[in-house]
Amino acid sequence: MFSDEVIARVINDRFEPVWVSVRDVPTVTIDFGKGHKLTRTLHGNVATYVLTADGTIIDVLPGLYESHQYLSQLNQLWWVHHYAVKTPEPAVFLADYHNEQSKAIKTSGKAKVVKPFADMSKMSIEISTKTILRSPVNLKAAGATSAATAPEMIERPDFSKPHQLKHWRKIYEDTDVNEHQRRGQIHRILANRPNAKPDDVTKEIYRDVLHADIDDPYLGLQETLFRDYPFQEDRPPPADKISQKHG
Amino acid sequence: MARQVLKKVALLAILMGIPSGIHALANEPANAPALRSNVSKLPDMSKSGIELPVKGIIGDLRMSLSADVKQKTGGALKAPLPKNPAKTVDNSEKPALKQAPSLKVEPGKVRWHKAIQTAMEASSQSGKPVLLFQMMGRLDDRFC
Repeated sequence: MFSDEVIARVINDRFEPVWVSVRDVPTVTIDFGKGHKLTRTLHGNVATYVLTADGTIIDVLPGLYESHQYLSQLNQLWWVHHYAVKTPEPAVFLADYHNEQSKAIKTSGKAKVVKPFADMSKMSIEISTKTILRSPVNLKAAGATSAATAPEMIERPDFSKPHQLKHWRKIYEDTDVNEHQRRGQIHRILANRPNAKPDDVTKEIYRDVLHADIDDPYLGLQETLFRDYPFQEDRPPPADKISQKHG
Repeated sequence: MARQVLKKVALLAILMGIPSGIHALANEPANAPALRSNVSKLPDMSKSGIELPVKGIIGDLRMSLSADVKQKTGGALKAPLPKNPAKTVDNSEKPALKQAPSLKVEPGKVRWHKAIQTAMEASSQSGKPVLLFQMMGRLDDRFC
């Protein structure tokens, strides 16, 4: 994704990007002998945070997104940041924003769309979530503009190829789950903690939203891995004892 | 008789592409010198008369070619001995492992800051929001 020219250009132009690793990713290696090995990652996951300069979280995109949607969401979060830093009370603004989005997803299944107001000096109304958020409509039919409109299509999948169809279908499904389920959870977490920094919520997001407990040495897979494992002496202690140990 | 044998040998040599065969035919005099004594002494000329002289010619040619090659390369060359693959397989022999390819890759085309603090400082200067990409593993690992 970050090798894509358009995505890289938007991120480089509009954000100050940094990546961090929250833990090692589990890998599986199958040794077929005679130097033939197959290595794959297992159960990894990602989260994209948009932050202010002092590290306050504006919003979080959980998991992997299809490229077009990823850019669309980043564009919207750029605008939310743009408004948040101009309000007299950013924490109140952000709490309202997350509450509104959480309600919208709960009631309609879709988050509200952020309206772009580039020239703030002409705004005669106070910046609030009521003014900057609106329900998603058929933007093309309405001829409306929105921060949700990404500048251009990123990739054009070739659905005539079965493996591409399967790959892209999975990414679109993941994007759908991210937007309709996981974002709602994120908004509820951040509505209660509008001044949160990444360290305050990372473990909770990975454990409860992405279902990959980064404190668990087996990332929640212990039951699956060891259910029928024959060698009792190699079985790890039960998961609840592990989580107690790691706090 | 010897002349007939010589003809056959020359023809065979030509068919095998050996220059001396053409030379032999072209320059075949009526009173061509006898072949080497070992050939003329063989009672059965049907097979040996062809094989032995050909072997001899090839042997001579190989030696002369080798000499030519040695002259050009300036060193003694050993023709590789044919190996029976089955015989060289041995449990104690392990295939030479290829050097593992580098497991580090470029993390895309995004210009990443090296640390969150650096990104936040840049954000306070530029006014742009920070984009923090959290992941398991490393973005510059081949497997991430």
